[in-house]
Amino acid sequence: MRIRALPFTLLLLFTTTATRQLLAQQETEEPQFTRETTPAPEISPSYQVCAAFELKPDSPIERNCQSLAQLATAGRWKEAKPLAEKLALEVPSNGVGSYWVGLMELQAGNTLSAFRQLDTALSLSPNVFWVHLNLGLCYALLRQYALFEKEMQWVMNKHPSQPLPYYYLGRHYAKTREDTDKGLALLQRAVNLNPADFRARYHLGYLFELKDRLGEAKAEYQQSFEGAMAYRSSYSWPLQGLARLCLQEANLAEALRYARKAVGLDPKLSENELLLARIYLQLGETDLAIASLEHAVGLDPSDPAPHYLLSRAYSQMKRSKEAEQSLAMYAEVKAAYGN
Amino acid sequence: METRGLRFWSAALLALLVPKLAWSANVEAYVIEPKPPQAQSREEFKAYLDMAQAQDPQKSIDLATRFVQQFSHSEFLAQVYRLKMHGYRSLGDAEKTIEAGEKARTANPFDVDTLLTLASVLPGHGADTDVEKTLERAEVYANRALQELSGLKASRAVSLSDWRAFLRRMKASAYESLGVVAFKREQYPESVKSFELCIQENPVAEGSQFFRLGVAYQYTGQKDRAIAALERAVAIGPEIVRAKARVQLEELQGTKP
Repeated sequence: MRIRALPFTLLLLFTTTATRQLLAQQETEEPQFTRETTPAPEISPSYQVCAAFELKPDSPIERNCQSLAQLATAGRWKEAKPLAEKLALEVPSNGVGSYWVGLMELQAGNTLSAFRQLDTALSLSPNVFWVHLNLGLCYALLRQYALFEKEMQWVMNKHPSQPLPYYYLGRHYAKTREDTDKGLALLQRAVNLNPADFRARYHLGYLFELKDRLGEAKAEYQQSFEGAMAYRSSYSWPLQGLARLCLQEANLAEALRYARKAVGLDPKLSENELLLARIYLQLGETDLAIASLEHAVGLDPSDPAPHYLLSRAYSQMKRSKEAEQSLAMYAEVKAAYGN
Repeated sequence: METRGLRFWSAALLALLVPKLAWSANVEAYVIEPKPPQAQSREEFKAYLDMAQAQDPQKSIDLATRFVQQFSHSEFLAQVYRLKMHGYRSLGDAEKTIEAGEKARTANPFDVDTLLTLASVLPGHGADTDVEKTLERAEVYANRALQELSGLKASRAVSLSDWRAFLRRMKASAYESLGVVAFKREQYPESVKSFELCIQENPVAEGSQFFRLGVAYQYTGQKDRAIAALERAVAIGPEIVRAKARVQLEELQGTKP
């Protein structure tokens, strides 16, 4: 029997999620799980920002901006915030301060505040592509897709060599608009413009996988993983992709190796545990599967898939009461949050 | 039942109408719309956010009025009228709450928040000539809200326990409205059933709901239960409910053999 399933992914808007749909041999009637997770937006602070706002080179303002870029790039957002607020007061006619405050709000998950700040930045500095890009991200997070697309188009028209709008739009087309072909073309462009973008590579690989172009999918996953390693990132999605491809080839040992590696790299990602559990179930390691599934439930209580698989695993173990409870939870979680 | 007494009790019930709709403040944060309305311009989106974030109900109403004038074909119209409806409700203007609510319902006939708000406000504010028509509307809206509730989807930021509580509060609100409709139709046993369901569903005990149940019990001749429910109303409050429940209790206990 073919073990192919519809791995699934792509973020809400922009975050990844992984495959819910690996149909294990013994799970042919398993419902389709197609929901995705909503990880934090992938913000890209950059040293180029200060130049884009046309600050006087080597001025105190420009130096403050560079310090902010440094702190943001290092992920030291809390330290950066007062500096950004100070910058906004020091140069009220330039959008640079509001831009940085907006980016920090975005990073903190305060999307509406981020939108207000970035909107102010756009009014003050209407031609800075970083502002358009991150304002576009805010729109996407606020599910204002028409405005998101407009912002990405603006950046693509003015700065055709910038890869990020292709990346964001590619994911948007593949997921929200369900246009895999267009998503694929956009992600290919993003990868051509920035071959080191391991996230874009993963998503490109995923779309190849959806289209059954498995060789190309594998190549992208491998390059994505290598890219993530080069940046010492804990981005584990390409390992999941590789594990799925191994499952399709019925290579359970290799699938298990990749899935374990994914969990090791990012133990807080519920999809990693879920995939590992599916492999354990196929190997008949029901106890280990149950442990992984329980962990997955703890990591993401809004995902119905682990509850469903738990009910099957408990049934196999003749633990009928727990099986019933898990099935009831599956139904409730699915009704509340969808697949 | 004595006509004078009925009028008195009905008036007492109506005085407590326009309940606080405790779930209402959470709708935007808890519920994920499958197809969110799309703004076509930055200005339209900002105008909507300005209104949605306004703290002062009158300001929210004014911004809503301006929004409708400026963006008459906006996909946000259902939301805008809904915010306007809540603005008027906060100001205690039932007629305008209904007017804005009906516009919101026309724009989106399945919006549970709008349906429940209308169902809760309508029974006390229909013109005398078409009371039954008004009650029928309230009943239809409450029942439709109960149907639509099962299709609502939660934001993943909301825990399952909070979501359960949210849904139960909404259900309680629908049953409360159905109880009031039945009471006004003098269908007291039905009224008792609905108020009992309301209290059973509501995860947070509300004094006004116990008060209503107490009154409905009395109309079905269940004096002891009426006293117990009114005593709960006194215990829970708030003060306006407490005061009314005390008056009813005194009357009830005064007539005890």
